[in-house]
Amino acid sequence: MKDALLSATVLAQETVSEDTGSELIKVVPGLMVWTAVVFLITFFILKKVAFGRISGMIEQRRDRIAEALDEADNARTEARALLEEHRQLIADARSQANEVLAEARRQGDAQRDRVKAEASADLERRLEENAKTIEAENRKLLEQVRREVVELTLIAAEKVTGKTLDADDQRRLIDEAVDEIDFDQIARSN
Amino acid sequence: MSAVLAAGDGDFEPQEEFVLHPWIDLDFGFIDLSVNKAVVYLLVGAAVTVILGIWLMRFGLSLRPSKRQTAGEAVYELVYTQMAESSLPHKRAIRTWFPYIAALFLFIWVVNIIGFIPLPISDEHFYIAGVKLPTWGIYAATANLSVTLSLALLTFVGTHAEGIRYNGPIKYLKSWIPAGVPTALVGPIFGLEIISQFMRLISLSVRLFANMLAGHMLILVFIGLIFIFESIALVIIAIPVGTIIYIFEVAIVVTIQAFVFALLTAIYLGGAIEPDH
Repeated sequence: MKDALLSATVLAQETVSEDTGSELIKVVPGLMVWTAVVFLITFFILKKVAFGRISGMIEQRRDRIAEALDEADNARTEARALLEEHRQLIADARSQANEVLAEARRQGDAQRDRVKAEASADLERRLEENAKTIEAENRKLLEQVRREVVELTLIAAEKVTGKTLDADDQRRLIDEAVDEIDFDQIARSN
Repeated sequence: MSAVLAAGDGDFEPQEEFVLHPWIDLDFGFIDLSVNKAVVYLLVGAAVTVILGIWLMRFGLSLRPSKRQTAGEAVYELVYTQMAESSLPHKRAIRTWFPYIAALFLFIWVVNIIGFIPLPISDEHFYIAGVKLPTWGIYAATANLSVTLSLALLTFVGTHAEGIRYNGPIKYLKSWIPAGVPTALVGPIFGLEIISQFMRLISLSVRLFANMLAGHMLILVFIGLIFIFESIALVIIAIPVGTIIYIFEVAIVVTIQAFVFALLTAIYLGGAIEPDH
């Protein structure tokens, strides 16, 4: 195989004639002109027809992306502000709720104290009134008892003396008798 | 390819593929503009470049790109960011020269790739039922020094024209001399710089031409071995090796050479427009 490759190389070298070999590096002005003209036409067509369009589209997309990024930034800022506001609202609501609760508790306590005080005062007033009423009733009753005692005494005295007393005597005798009676003892014994 | 077929007769000359015979004679004496195989390949390449450019970058464009538009934008962005933006000094220069660099890249890439597609464009013919048909073969117009030199010359002229336009002739030529050079050395260095400017022209053109020529030659030689030795056993080596070279050329060399040519054009232009850049 090595010999075969070697002979192939030799054969290839031999077959390269001077004429065709120099053709490989020969500069042909006509072909250079063709190349320049063909390339420049290609360049102008691409410049006019293709590059401008895609460049515009890429610019447009860049703008859109920049806009979208700006919008996203704004939305994020807005969301942060809203979140902050929301947190503040929650904090305010909690604070207000606590205040309302404290106020309600305070009012409740005050009302309870007031009711308690009123009830207590009312009870005392009622007790006082009752005591007064009882005392008045007692007095009224004692007055009545005394009157009845006097009348009975007068009747007894008339029977004993056989005479009738005038009004002044009656008054004097009644007062003396009544003063001698210890009503407190009578009341206690009752 | 016709050289390969001719090798069956024991006369294998792959370089024959690159000899240009006039098909339409347009010799004006002072210049020969005859149409030959290279011209036809150039015209086909130009047509395909224009169609491809329009297909990828003009129709049906939208803000939500299709696969086709994405491919077009990828090509556009590649040239814009990797070549124009990175090599040219300012927006004005980019706006002026981006279309040239992009067109150059696309044109060379298409002409290169067409060079590896078998086409019935050949000097050789064969007959089927008495009908004369062209032999199918592979040929790249960029495997011809005149073609690459012409493209390099356009870059060369454009580069120096822009250098002079932006800086004025004196300042531009002065920019070729590095700062701090002793006065006695200014002359020789200026001379060297002139040579180096022409070397750029040669290196730009020869790099593309030699790469494309070498790729074609290698493929033709490996396939030609089968016919030279008339041994079917060689198929086991020649076809896989030829295929590997073919794939390597199509997948890598074609694109890299187009990219390098366009990128160097952008770099030369950037250097000329703003020498301190």
